[in-house]
Amino acid sequence: MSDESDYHYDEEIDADNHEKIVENIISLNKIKRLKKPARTEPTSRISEFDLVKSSKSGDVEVDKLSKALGNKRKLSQIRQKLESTKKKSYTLPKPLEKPQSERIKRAVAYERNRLLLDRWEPFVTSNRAQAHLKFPLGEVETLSMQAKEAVKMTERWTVKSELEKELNTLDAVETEEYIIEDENESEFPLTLEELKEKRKEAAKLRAHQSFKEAKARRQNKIKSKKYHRILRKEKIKQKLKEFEELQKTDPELALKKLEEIEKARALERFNLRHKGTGQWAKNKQVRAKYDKESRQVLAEQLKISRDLTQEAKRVELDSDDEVTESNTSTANLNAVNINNPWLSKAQSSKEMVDFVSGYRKFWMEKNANDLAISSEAQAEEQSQTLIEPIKVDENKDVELERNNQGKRTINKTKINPKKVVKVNQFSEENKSVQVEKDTKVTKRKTTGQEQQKKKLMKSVTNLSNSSGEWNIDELFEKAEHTILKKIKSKTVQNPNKTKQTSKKLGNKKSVEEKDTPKKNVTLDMPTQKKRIVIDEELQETLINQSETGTNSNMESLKNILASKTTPQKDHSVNIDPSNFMTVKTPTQLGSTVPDLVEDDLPDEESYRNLVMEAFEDDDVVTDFQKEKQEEIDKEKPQDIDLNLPGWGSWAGTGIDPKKARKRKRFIVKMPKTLPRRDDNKGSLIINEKAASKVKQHQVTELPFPFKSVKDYEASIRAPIGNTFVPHTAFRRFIRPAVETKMGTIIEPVSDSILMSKKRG
Amino acid sequence: MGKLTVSNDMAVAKESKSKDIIEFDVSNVKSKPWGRRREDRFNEKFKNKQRNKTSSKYPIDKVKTNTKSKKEKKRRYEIPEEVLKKYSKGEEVNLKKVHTKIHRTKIEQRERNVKFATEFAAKTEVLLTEETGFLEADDGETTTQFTQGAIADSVDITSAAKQFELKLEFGPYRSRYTRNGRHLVIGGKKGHVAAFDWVTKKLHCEINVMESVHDVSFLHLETMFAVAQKDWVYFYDHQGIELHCVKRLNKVTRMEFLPYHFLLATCSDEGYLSWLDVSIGQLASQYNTNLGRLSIMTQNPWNACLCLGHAKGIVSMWSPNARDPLAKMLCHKAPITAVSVDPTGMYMSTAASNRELKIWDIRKLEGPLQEYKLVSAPSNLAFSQKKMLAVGHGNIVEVYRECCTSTAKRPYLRHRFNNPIGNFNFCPFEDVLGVATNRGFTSLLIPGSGEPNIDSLEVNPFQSKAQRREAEVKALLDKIQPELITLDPAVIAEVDVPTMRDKIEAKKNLLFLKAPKIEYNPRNKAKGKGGSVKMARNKKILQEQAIREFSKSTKDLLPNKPNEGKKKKQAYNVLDRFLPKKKS
Repeated sequence: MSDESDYHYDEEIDADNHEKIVENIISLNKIKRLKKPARTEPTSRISEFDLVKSSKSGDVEVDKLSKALGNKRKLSQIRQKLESTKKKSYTLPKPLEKPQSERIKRAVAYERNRLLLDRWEPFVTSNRAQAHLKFPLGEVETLSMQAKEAVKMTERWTVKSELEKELNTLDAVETEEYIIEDENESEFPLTLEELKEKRKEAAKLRAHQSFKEAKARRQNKIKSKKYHRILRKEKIKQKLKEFEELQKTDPELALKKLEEIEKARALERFNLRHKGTGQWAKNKQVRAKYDKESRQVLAEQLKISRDLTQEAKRVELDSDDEVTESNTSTANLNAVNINNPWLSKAQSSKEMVDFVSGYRKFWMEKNANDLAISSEAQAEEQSQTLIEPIKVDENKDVELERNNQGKRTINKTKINPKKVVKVNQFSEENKSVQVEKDTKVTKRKTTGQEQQKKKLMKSVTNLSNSSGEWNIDELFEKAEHTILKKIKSKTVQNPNKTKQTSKKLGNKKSVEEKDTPKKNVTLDMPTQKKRIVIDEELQETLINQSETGTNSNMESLKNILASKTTPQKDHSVNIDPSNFMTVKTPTQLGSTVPDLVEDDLPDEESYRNLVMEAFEDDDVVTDFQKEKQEEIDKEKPQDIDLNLPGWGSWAGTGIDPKKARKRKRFIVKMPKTLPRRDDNKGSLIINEKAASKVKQHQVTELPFPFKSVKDYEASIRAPIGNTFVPHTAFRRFIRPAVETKMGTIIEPVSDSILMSKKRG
Repeated sequence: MGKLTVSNDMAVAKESKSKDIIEFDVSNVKSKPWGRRREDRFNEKFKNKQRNKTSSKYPIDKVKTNTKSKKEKKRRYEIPEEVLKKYSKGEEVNLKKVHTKIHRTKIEQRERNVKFATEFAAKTEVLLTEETGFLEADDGETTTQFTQGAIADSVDITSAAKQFELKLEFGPYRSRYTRNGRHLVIGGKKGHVAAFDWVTKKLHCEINVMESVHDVSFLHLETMFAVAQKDWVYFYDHQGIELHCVKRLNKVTRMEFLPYHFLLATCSDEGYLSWLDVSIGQLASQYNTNLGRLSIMTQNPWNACLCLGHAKGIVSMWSPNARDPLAKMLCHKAPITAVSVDPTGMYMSTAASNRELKIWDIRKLEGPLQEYKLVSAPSNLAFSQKKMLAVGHGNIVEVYRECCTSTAKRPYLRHRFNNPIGNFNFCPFEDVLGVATNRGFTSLLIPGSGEPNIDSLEVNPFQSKAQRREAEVKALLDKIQPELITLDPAVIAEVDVPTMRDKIEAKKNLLFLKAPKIEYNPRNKAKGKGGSVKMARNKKILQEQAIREFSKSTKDLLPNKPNEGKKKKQAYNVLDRFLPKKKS
């Protein structure tokens, strides 16, 4: 028993302690938790040792949070939303590693710059090919495109609403551009005095402007309400005075003025002035229950507003306008909208919405004081009101999408990403909108599109209240079109960027490889430098083989390379039978015999001639032939006999002298020489060696652009000197490659020259 | 008697000094310079398609335009084919055999310029309005019948004045005209030398050199002339003042002046040929021909070679660059008595003592084109600018027309003198033959012998003093070096093919050249200091060293050296001025 009890006791004790001990032991074994870094001071750096241990358990999961919602019916919507987001959302792919992303960036940058540089290619080649360039380039015509100055000037001073600006960008109205010819032959169209005068005037204008600005700023800074009130009153008085005067003098203008005043009144009615919505009014309202004074002040405020409206009515009645029933603000508003759908109602309509909601809110708050509704409900309602206008837009967008599905399938993909973002925000309509999952748009771009979309939405909301359906459609189409254009241009510019986030790292390369052939621009490698073939045409078969064979010695090769000439020369063989000493029968000329006998004694010369004539030699021809043969033999290279004297020439009986054939082995035969020029020309001897001095001046290497000797020779065949060609042609030949105009600054080429068709 | 005219000389300015208007070809500039070839090609294709479409749609329009252009073309002046051929410079470069597009376009432009030049030159023939003179015989008459007196009677007074006779007593005489044909120098054997403007008959100088005179020749201008006297050659100016006495030109028999080379070529009694550069006063070359006495010499104006006539019937051609003749032609079987080459350098006429007269094609060194047999052996021959050949034998001068390409039957004109003929020359740009005889000088009118149209930039008979000076300077600047005197003057524009081929071969062989094996003879080592292993190692080291050196030395010689000619110039540093100057 005792044992048992002991055991029990032990157990009892252990139950507490043991757990602690185990926990302690386990905790010892566990890796220590690192504290999350808590910054006490704002620093730009966070210590790397304060790294947070990533742990799954610590993460906040949406599921867990949504559990808290329970099965309440009220919250079913939220739960649904969350679930849908969970379905639709996906984790963003891990950003690429730095070297890879850098590489992509480089590639994109390279591509862009290459395209930029490629534009210059034809210009550069045409300039290089031109035999004559005149600097400064592009002197032909300098046309400058300028928008009409006056129009721009006035545009500068008009204030445009946000919507107008947006519309301008969408419409992209072609600004009228005028070709302004450079008519100022003289470089200085104005004289010095005129210039000075002009500058003075400009300075004056600027100074005046700055003064006014300073004054306005000063006045704006004045906080005194009294001052402003006085100012306003003064202004009103002034205006009324002017108006009355106008009524007398110029009734038409007065009418216009009246309209203006009406407009101002309308504005007054729209905005929340004197409506008791401001902070001041609210404070007063709080106090109004107990304080009479504040109640009075409030009443006064409201009365002002009433006065303003009443006054307006009175004015309207006074002016005998057709619009008599337009008491209510809404009717008035509509009228304005119909008359002028775009102008100024951008602001007003928005304000109207604000006003309506604000008014409602005001009354709700007022009611809140009395009824005390739960804050939750109020928040919900508020959100609802906020969503409402956008909802409408959303629906329309979708409708439009459906209508145009057939037409623009390609475009859709590009629009969708915006939608995705939107849908995430407002998950109510997500079922109606198809979302493509493989959208390939970078975040930056989507944000940009978002902004655009927002702007668009704004305009649409404005429209939706007032104008007709067709108008919206048109607008949408336009807007979409422009956006599409923008997107397209962007995607074309950097096709790689869009792919950046699309797929995982592994797939990345393959995708790129696949895509490369699709590009309309190929990256062609610089062609490998070919070895220059010095002479492709040259196909002389009579190459001195033995000589080149023995050229293994470097010295000799060097000599050949350095030498200007080689003694050899080739000539084409032309056999012409007529070249042999032909025996022509000489024609007898009808000349007369000189009748005069020289009275002088024959001198030495004539005596010799006489002797020659007497012994006219028929051997002349044979002598000449012999001489020629000698000449030929002399120039022929001799075979080299390497026989040693006495070798193999044993004397004695019984020795066959026929064995001398062995001697042939020791005779080095010289190759056959090239045919002589005077071959087959019996009565001619040409000295082949004589031209050696000219060879020093001859070209021995084929210069670059030519592939054959013949073409090179053809290129230098024509003389260019003025003694050979007419002067006009001569001037054409010697025209310098580059001419520069004296006294002009030669600017570096700008890319505007790429646009001009004519170039000098 | 028929018609007769003597051409009047008129200076015709060949050049029209119109301003050049050079249009640049901008047709190949792309309208869309950006983008890549593929796109461009696509565009081009598209264009072609469109064109085709349009052409198929409106075929009539196209035809219309074509006809219009044809008509326009027809209206243009068409240059006669033969005139174009005359000025043609030969075959064009084959553009397919030229590397790179840019070079191709450049060469194309050049070819266009050449074509323009030839066409322009052919067109300017229109401006050569002067016509050659001629003699026309009536039926039953021959031109040979007309005496000088008859000719002089029927021509205008200025032409008639060109016919004159000088009766002098110090003969036999020799004469020579200047290149422009305005001045004349005569030298009598007995020492009488005179230079004068033969048109105006204004005497420059008249001197007695007190020595035998063998030949006279003007230098590049009328202001100076050379006289080959008994021993030496003397130079005189137009006032008769002796400028030089060149004793190295000894016993000169004949002289020729090569105007483009500024060389006075002489041949001597002792068989010496010499070329004296008169612009620098130095002998370009002088050597013995070993052919004995040389007394027949003429120059070939086309290639500036000298043609010598020899007793063995050979005509040899010489340049100052070779001791041996450039070529020898066996022309006759008898001693040659006279040689003459026509001013264009196409034909050579030779005459021998066996009364033969032959015409040769001197450019091809072929012939004879024509063979004639005369009644007596001619002692003198002279070609005129219009290829008329004057043949002198004894006291008779006969002029033959069109005797080179076609066979002449009888002389065009004949003149008989009372004295034997010394020598004669046709006067350039005049229809005049100047004959120096034993007893004076006679100027004969030979209608149609001279070139009527003058290229005043080449030689100007009417040049003023200033023009003469300018022409002298220009001629000196354009002087051709004596090394370029060869049989074929166009050889300078040719590539020396054999040398080039050898160079290419050498370059190829250089690639397969092995480094030489060294012979390693180690010293006798002391005992215990390194064995065969160490020796082998040393040998290897040395061999490798040799290979390295060899490859280094061949590196510069190898073709396609990448850095050749592309040495980057270092930017000029301010402190570079203190560096020692490089000796160029």
